[in-house]
Amino acid sequence: MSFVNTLLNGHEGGLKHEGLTPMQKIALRFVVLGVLYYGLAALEGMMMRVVEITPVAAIDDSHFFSIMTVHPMVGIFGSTYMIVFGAFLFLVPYFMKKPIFSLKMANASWMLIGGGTFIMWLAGFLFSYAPLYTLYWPLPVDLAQFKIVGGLFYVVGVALIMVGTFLYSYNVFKTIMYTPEGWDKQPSMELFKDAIGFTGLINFFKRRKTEHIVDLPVAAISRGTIDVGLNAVVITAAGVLLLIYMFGTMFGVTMEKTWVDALLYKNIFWWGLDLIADGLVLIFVAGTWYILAMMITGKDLFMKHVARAALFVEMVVSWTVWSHHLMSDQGQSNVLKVLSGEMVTALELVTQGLAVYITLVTLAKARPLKMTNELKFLLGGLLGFMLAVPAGIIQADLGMNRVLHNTQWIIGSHVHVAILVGLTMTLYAAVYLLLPILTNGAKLWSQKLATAHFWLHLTGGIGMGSFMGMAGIDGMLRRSIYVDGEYSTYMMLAGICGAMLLLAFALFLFNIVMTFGVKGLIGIYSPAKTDTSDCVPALQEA
Amino acid sequence: MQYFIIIFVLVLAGVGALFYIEDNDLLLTITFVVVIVGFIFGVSRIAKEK
Repeated sequence: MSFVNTLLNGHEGGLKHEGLTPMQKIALRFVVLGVLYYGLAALEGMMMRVVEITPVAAIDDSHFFSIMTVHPMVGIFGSTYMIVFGAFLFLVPYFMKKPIFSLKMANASWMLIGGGTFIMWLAGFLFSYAPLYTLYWPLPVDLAQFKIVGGLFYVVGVALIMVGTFLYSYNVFKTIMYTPEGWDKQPSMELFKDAIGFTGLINFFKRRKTEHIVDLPVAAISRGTIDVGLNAVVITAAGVLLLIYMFGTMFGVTMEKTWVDALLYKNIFWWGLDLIADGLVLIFVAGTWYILAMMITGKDLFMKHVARAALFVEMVVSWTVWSHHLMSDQGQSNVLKVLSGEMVTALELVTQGLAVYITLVTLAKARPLKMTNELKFLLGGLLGFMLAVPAGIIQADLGMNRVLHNTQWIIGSHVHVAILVGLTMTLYAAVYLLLPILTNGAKLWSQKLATAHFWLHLTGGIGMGSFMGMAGIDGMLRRSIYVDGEYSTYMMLAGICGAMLLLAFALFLFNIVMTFGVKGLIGIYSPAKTDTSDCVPALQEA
Repeated sequence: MQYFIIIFVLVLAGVGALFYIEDNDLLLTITFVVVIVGFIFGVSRIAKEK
């Protein structure tokens, strides 16, 4: 009885959704959907891990590569974008102590991104559309191999995600710059300049410094949002190109694939994708570390002016690093390979290293600290990037790239350690920290499950990345199925670690369901009963 | 509104660039600069909105 009661109504009364503000509901809608999409991505990942160990009759080659196409898209857009956007749409007004510009626009964003992810996923699930997420030209318009309807589903899904992303970025910047009703006129242009880093840049050359009017966390969110917007421009342009070719084929117009240069396409596409990898991930993550460190310790950030400058440098670095993805392309210019691919990329050791240092010193100076869930996961996130960034720098070397390019090292030791350990553990830290703020004090059902979640996720994530990396060093290519058991020992070990990750997620999800209760979770998606533009109820704020 | 119009123009410019640049590194670099400056200009227009 008590188990069923807790399952339905939550722990100690669970999530009382009637008392939530519209802002709390919107943030929770983003986060809950993002967490569910993370589960889908984890499940897809585990299916691929199983096939890498032994062929499975139910998952043939076309199914395998369809999963491989949607897996990163579900992970990046359905999960990461949703959790990050939900948290930031809440935190920008929360930190600035002003109402969000548009609740309707925020609601539209989660619906568009969530719905778009589902439609994009259907392209793989229903139609086996599988040009892989890198969409190397002309694979996505190889309509002898893929059905047009699959491509259309894919492009429409991604287009909806991008529209949701543009609305998010507009809402964030408008919230920073607008003047709410009844307020004194806000200095919109000065707020804009400070948010994206112009004020700090000009201060560097001035004797009399202009004081910052945008807090560091909001500045971090703004700079990451610039990269998110730039990335959306590139992805949307790629989508329009695919539509041109698909419609051309549908209406019988001869469209030569050679009209678009494959290497040029790869340059532009990777320029855009690296705005996610190096913009969204590194800038947002560094910004989130700072927010977490300040909220956990209740103290100001150590070296906050350096942190602000480093965030600006990171933004500029993220615009110029893309060539490390083209080091093994014979046609790529050597100047770009060395300047953008090696030298600018190596700067990320400095910017990310500074972010790790500043966060750790902020925490160390506030000792003694209680080892809370948010602190544990924050330390896990820091460790993830301390492993994954150097792995990335190693492969962004012209010599090492000959050995590591397109192997399991890239996707294991670098990408999955960065995303699963670095990024996801940082996001979990934010979830655990924001849980009481977003839910007006809901109490976690089981601390033991939260601890198990931490250790299983940390060891599973590092383990899976490491074994994939070892297989890569031994020559195992990514995006390939080996049917003769060439790398089965590594793949079995990676599979065990993958299962630990999936179990960690299941425990986390179960803990959250028991904390909120099924009724509370469903209630998040019902209209808010309170009519306020405040982030949290006035009583809690007081 | 100007923000969304500028994004629309940048997307069209990006698609056009894919057909015209070919292997010219200078044009590629100029495209990236135009997209970055154009997008930041688009964001600055939000500040100017009534």
